[in-house]
Amino acid sequence: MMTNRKLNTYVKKGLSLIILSVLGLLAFIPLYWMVITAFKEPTLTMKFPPELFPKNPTWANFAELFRRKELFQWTLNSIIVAGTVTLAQIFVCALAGYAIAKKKFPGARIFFWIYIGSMMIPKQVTLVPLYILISKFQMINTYAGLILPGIAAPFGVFLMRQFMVTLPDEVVEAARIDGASEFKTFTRIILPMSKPALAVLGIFTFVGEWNSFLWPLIVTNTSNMKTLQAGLALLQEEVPMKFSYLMAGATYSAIPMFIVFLVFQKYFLRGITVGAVK
Amino acid sequence: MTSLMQRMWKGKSGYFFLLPHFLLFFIFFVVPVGWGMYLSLFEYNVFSQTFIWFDNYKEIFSDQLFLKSLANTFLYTFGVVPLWLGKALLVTVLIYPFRKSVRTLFKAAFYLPHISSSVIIAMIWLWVFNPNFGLLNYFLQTIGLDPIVWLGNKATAMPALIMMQVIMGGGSTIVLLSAAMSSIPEYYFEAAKLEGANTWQVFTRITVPLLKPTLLYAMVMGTIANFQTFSNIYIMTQGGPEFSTSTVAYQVYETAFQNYNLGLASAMSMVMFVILVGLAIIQFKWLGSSVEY
Amino acid sequence: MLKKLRIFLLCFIIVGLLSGAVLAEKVTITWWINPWRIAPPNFPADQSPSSEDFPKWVSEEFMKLHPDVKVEYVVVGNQEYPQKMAAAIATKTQPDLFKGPIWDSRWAKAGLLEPVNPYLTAEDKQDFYPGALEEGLVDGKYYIWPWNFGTNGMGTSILLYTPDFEKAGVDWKKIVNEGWTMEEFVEIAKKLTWDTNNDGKIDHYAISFGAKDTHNLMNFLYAFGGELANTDESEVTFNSPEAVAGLQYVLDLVNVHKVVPKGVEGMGVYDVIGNFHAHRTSMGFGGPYEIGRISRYLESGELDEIFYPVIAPFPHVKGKDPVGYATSGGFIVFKQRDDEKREMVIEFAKFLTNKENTALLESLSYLTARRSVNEGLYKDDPYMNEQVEVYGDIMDKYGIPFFGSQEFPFSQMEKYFTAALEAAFAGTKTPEKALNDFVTEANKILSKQK
Repeated sequence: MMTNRKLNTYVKKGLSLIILSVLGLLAFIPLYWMVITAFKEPTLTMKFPPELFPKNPTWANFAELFRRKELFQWTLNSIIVAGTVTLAQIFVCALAGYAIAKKKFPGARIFFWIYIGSMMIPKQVTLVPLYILISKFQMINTYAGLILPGIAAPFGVFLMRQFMVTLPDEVVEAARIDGASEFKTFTRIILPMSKPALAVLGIFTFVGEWNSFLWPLIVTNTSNMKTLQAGLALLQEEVPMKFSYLMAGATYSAIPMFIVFLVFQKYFLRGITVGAVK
Repeated sequence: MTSLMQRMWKGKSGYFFLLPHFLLFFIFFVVPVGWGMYLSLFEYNVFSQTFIWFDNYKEIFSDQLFLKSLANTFLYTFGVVPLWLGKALLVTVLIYPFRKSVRTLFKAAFYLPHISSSVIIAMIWLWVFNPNFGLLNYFLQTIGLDPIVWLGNKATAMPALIMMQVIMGGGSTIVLLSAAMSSIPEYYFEAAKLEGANTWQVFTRITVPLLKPTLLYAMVMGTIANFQTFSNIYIMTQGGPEFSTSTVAYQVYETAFQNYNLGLASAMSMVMFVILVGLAIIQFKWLGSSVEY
Repeated sequence: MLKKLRIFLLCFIIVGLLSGAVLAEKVTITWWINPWRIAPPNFPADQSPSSEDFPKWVSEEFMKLHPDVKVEYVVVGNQEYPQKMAAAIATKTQPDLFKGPIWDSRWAKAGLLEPVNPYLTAEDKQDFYPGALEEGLVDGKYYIWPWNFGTNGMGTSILLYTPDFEKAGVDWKKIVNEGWTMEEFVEIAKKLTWDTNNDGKIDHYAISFGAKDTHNLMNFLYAFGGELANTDESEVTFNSPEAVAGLQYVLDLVNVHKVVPKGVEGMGVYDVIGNFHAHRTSMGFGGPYEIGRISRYLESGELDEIFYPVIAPFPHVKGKDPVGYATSGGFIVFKQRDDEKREMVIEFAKFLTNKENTALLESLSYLTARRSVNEGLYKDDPYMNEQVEVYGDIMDKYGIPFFGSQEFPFSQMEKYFTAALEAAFAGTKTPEKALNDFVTEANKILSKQK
């Protein structure tokens, strides 16, 4: 009886593993394809049948990529932009999310619905007016033009509110009774408790900003202000058929994200778990 | 009135906390949206601005291409989102019984495509679908099938894009669902098992209802994201073949930045916005009666 | 906790500083150019130039001549060009001067551009090809400072991989010298289609097409006598029996004669180029630039073997001339308010298009808009010299514009044309129906324009 059930569990688990692996592999193969293509001789990408395992991996594509002097500047810009947006978003969204979740003031719900509603607004809607606005502020081709609209994104407030609503009211109350000021309550009680959610928001934002394409493309002009994604788009135009080289660029831009994800993944998964306890 | 003022004064710290984000949000989000609405009432191109009331809206609803794009957008969204959710739910339930390390491994693996830029994913898949050198046709040929011009045929282009999105997507939903699932107290499942419920019953009576808020959230978010799909169209098909993959977001882009008709493009994006809000309301109403937001 | 607070404060300060940083105003010339991988003088021969090298060099050279001027260049990708230009014009942040894949005659009509006429010397007028100047003709004024003559040669000429022709026993020299009729083309194409590895499947074709490759397909429609629009451009006429016959001819090459790889509906120009480079086809398209592409790809490692194709005209209908797409491009100056600056910008436009700098196009195997410069190109390379001559001949004798005048809104119609070709090659519409549908949509756009 016991063994039977155990066997049953094993079969189930085995079957699960197979299904999971197939689904996982499907999503993984294209990424694998990106990486191995980056290590292929350029001529091999136009051969049929394709080589599934590179026989003679080469660094030549990366070497050529790094010969582009602008690459370093593009990378730096991406780090500056994504980093600043992330730090600023974490802070201002935590504040705003806390206000909507825990503070009682007239209009709190209205603000919440404004934020939810604004998440449904297609990016295309704001693209043209935002560009006009940014140019009126003389922020075209500046870090400010790249960064400020990123901080203004509504998603983070929604996320923080969803998390903070689950924090027990008693804690806030207790702090208030202890005589802590509003801001102290926020920095000493709320922020530490929200660390997991902050990490989630941080990763979402950083990854999103790092991969952001259309806005940097439009708002930057000179090569030294381009972010990595916008720079890669330029490379693609120069050598549209040099697939291995483009994939080297893609791999280069993706690897920092893989690292960020692997390092923070623990926070990330735990973060939502904590948030779900009501 | 005074009581409102009083309550506002009492809650002043709330406004204070809200201010830093809301200020930026107002300038760089609300204002452009309002401006976009205003623009949609203009014949607005690079050279002239004429106020024309709702003529832009009249024009887009008599434009076959826009209507086709709208239909395509629905097709795409309703193709991707259910499959996405199904996949995420399946994966979540399947990984649940495993050790934490195994779960983490799979969650990480499924999340991986999410952290790559959509531009890069589209570039890779363009090559996967390539009729001559592509990976997919290579696999077809090794199992003895004829190669297919995936993105060149109006019968296969949209399904191909949906397939790609389903294969690559769902990772964040899996993470969200797994988190929600592990917050379901263990004894719910144990109690059900003791009462003799089989796996399917546990799934339909306990897992799904308890995951409903998260599922709803994922569904609304998925709908919003996929309804706006742009970069894969821009890079892979440019709306072709025969406009079978032209989406509203792509039409907005083309109208604004290739035909310089900013007013018409704004009107299109407003239509898109209204539909999204409508969809969200329907989804909340349909599934969300018990969900507290 | 204090530490965290400090971090937050710090990031706010950073944001504040950055937003405050407004560029200091200075008298500068800003110009845009799309990616041209031209090698400036003394560029190391073992490297391939990037799109930044030429604009950087030429800006610096001009600043050396005029130390009081600051020249800033911006390389704008072809795909992003339209949107950036639209946004820039809408916000009045357009560059002073530009060279790009697009421009719109409406800009000239709206008075946004500086005409070239007052600055053209008599010598210039002699030197520039008339076609190159007329490319920028709007309401009797020229708006383009001519620079390149012809583009990559797509839709202008065909490239023959001669070893294949010799293998098939076809006299390619005759084709180069005398051209070929549509019927001859079919017969030769059949000879160039074979099964390399004897597995019973055809794996080598004469030529390939892509539905998204407008130029090369359009050539056949024109060659059969089709016309995009009538002479006063009041009506789109690309569904005439002649145009339909042209499309039908290409369809027959694919479906009846089977000398073209399948999948035309899903391919673009780069697939076609790739097939030719991989020797999956014996014929490619384009002019000297496309020959140059072969050695560039060899240098950058995309090709492992050089080959030397020859340029030949497109096939012609018996009793008619072949046709070739002819175009040119150059620099356009935006309206300048300040007289002093205008002089400088014009000076810069002259500098960019002077003989020495125009001649740099040689590194891309482009013909230039100046006759005097072209005479000196490729002097010490007999093979290239011959190709350029054949190419120049085709452009000179048979060159026609494909897309109407500057006022004709083909850019807005193009997607419908591509859709028509996709439908025809996918077999979802007959060529006649496909072109009829294109003409219906195109005429709508045309009538809206008025």
